[in-house]
Amino acid sequence: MKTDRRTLMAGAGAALALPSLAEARMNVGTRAWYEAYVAAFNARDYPRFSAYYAPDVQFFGQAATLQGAEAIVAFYRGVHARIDERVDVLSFVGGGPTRFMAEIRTTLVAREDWPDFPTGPFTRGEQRQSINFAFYHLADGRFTRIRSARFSPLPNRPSRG
Amino acid sequence: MADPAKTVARYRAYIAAFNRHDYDELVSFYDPDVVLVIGNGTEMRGRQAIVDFYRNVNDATTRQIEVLDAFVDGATLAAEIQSEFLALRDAPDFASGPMARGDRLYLNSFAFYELNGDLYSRIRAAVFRRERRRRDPAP
Repeated sequence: MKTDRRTLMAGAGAALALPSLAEARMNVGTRAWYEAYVAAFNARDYPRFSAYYAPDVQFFGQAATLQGAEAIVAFYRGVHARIDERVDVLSFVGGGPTRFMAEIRTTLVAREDWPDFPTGPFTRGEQRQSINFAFYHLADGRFTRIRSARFSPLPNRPSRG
Repeated sequence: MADPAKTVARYRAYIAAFNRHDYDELVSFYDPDVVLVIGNGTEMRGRQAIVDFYRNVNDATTRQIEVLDAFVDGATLAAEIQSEFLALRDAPDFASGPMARGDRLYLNSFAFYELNGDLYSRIRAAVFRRERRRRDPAP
């Protein structure tokens, strides 16, 4: 185990990692801190990105409403098994250590057909993009509530299959 | 760079003017080239287009906006607002969907206001939650 990264055990054996020292040095709630979270999310580094969640975090996403860090990780593990997802931060408005709002672009590419995907049937190879406004609340350096509002769908790229 | 507290106070004054339907004051908050995109995708360019749109909306409904939160970072203000619409008459072409007289619509929205000095140059809002309540049936 690296010395700059501690791991704690939560719930029934799920491993949640604390942010690295470099991340911890960043001021909580800044764009750099948030970008580190998004980078971990895009890398599917579940221990690292879930370390940003309070244990009882409330999550109101486009595809699911969830409570708890473990529930969110389980949800994304399931999604990422079938879909490639990438989030890009387009703009960021900080509100101190307790909240911020971000404009994010989410890109989904289906690796397989998913007819009952929560936001609409997906065909293998299809790309779907949307712009969302996400409002994050924090306490003690972790997300306690994440809410996402759909601003705009972007033109889809149909599958090439 | 403007004082963030003053920018938020000015934003609350803007919403108060909106709630009073004080269009003359309302336009004083907009950059001449303002662009407004609301939650249903409708885009308006210029002060007059925005005022014309809201005059039409407010002809069919009353709308009250409550600022739930607002904060500033650099040249952008972020806000969470709750809007309550009450249909004054049947409004089948209402921008957020048909409404019958007496119906109420509640929208919880996240919005970005980009500033050019003190003026709003681009406003974008996305609806997080919407709740529609039908008029109470007659007793």
